[in-house]
Amino acid sequence: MVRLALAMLVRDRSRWYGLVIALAFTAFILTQQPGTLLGVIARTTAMIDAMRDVDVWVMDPHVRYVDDLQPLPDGALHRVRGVAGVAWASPYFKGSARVRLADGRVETSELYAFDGATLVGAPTAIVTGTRAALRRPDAVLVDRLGAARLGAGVDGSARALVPGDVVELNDARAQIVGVVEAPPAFQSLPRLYTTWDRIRRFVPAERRMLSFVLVRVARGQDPAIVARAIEARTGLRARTAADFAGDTRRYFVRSSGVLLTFYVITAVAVGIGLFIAAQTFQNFVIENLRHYGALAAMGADQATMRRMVVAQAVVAGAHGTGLGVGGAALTTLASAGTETASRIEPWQVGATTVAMLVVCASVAAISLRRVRRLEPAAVFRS
Amino acid sequence: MQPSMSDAPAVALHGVTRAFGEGATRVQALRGVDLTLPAGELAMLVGPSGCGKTTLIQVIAAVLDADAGTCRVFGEDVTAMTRDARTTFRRHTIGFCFQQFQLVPTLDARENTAIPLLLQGVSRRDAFARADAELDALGLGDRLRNRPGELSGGQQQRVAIARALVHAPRLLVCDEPTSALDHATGIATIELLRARALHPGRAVLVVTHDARILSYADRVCAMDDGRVVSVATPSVATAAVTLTS
Repeated sequence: MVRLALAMLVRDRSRWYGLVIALAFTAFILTQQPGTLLGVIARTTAMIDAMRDVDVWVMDPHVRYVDDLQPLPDGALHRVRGVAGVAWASPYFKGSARVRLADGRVETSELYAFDGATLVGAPTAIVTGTRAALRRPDAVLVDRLGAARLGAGVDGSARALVPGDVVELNDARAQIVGVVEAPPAFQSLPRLYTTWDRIRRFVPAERRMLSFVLVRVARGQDPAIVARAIEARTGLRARTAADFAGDTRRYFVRSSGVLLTFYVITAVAVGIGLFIAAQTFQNFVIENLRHYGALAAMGADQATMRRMVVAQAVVAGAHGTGLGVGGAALTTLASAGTETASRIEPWQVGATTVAMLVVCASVAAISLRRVRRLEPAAVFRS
Repeated sequence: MQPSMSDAPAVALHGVTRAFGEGATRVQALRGVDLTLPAGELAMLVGPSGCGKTTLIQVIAAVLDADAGTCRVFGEDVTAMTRDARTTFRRHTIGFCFQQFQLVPTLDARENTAIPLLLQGVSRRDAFARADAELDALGLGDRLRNRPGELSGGQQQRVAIARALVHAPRLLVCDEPTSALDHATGIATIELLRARALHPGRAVLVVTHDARILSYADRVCAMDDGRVVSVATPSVATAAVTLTS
C-alpha cells in the first residue's frame, strides 16, 4: 500500500510539484540563508584566518575585535619579543586612509602595513605585479575589488587600477605596484597595503602606529600558554588566533544590527516556507480524505494509513530537501570569490535535513489527525 | 443455539436502531429493524430518500455502530466487535461498490482493483495478477493501465465492481450502483453483478432507487421511516413500486 500511496502522491502532478517546490524552497532558505550569514560572519575574521603563520595576536587591553583599533606604543613590539616562547614578533598596522582619485573624487579605504623584511601579514595571492616592488619608496599594493573601484576615474575611463598607476593616499603620492587577492572583509572598502617602514609617509599625523603585534610561538610551545605569558609580562592583551577570531565573531553577532536583521529575515523566510509546505501537504491529504475513507471502509487499518501518510511526507520531504540543499550548494558555488560569497558547512546540511524531517513529521502528524478521525461510513454519504 | 457459519443467513438483523444528532436535531434513522437475508441471493433495499437505507447497509457492512439490536453477517455479530475487529472483518468478508465509484483518480484500473488484496497482505505481483484476471473477466482487459479519468462511466463502474469482487468477499454491498449510469449500462451492470458475484454461500445487497433493476433481485426489501416494511419477490415489489410511482 505504501507504493500505491507514493503513486497517489507523485502522479498528482500539479500538487506534487507544488509540494516539492514549497519544501525545496524551505530547505533552500534553511541552508542558504545561514550560509550567507556564515559567509558574512566569516568575512569578519577572514584577515585573522588568512594569516596562518600567526599564532598569537597582541593588542591594546581594550581591543575587543579585529576592527577595534587602539594603537600600541612602539615599544610593545620589543617587549613582546622578549617573552619566552616567542619565535618572532612582527608589527602590523591597520587603519583608514583617504584616496583621491584621478577624477578628483575621494574614496575612504583601508590601509595595512606589515613588516617589509618578513612580509608577515602581507597578502599572498598576487594577481598582477610583485611584492618585491614594494621596496620602491611610494609603493602600495591594492586588492582586486579595490582596484576596480578606485580605478573608476583613471584616464577618464572605467578601467581598474593596474601596476604603474598613481593615486593620492592621504595627500601623499602612492604608486600601485601590484594587485592582490585579499581575504574578504566585513566592510567592502578598497584595501591598500604597504610596508611598516613606509607607513609614516602615508599616515603622518598619528603618533602611535602599531595596531597589533603578530606573534609566532617557538616550536613545541602552546600558543595559549605563550599568550598568557605575554599578557603577564607586558600588560597587553594577547589572544591566540582562534580565540581572537572567536572574539571577533561574537562581537559582530552580538552588536551588529545587520546580523540581527539577517536573523529575522531568515526566520521569517523559513516560517513562510514551512507554512507553505505544511499547507500544501495538508491540502493534499484533505483532497485525498475521501479516498482514505474508502480505504478505511474496505478494511485499511490505522497503521496502514499511517504508513501511507508518513511515506508520502518522507518522500516529499526527501525530494524537497535534496533540491533545496542542492540549489543552495549551487548558489554558494556561483557566489564563490564574490563580495557576497556564502558558505555551506556539512553540519548545515545535517541541520537542514533534521529540520525538514521535523517539518515533515509535524505535517504528517497534523494530517494523520484528520485521517484518524475519519469515519469509514462517511464514504457512503459522498 | 447459534447457527454455524456455513449455514448461517448472510444477514440477520434483530431490533437494530440508530439515531444521529442530539436534542432537537436528533434523527432516528433506524427504528428497530428486523431482517433476514439468506446466502446465495441478491437482495435489493428500496425506499424513499431518508428512509434509512444507507444507514442500514452501513450497519450491515460494519462501518457504523448500531445503537441497539444485533447484526449478524454470516453468523458473526458485527455489533459486538471492536473497531479493529470490524476493520479486519470488512477486509476479508465485505466487498464495497460505492455510489460514486470512489476510484482513486491517480491510480490505474489494475491498481484500484488490487487495493483489497494489498490490504490483505497479498504480494503486489499476485494482487496485480488477480486484478488483471478480474478486470479481464469484466471486459476491461485492454484497460488495465488506464486511470479512471480515461474511462467511461460504465467502465469506471466495472472497475469498481472488479475491486469489490477481486478478493471474493462473502457479502457484496452496493450503494446505488446504477444511479450514475444510463439505462443500458445500468442493466448491464446489474447483470454483471448477478453473474460474477452470486455464488452459493455468498450474497449481494444492493441499495437502489432504480425500479428498472428490481427484476434482477431475488428479494426486494422495502423500507420506510427507519423500518423494513416488506420483503417481497421482485414481481410483487416492481408492481408496488410502479403503482407508487
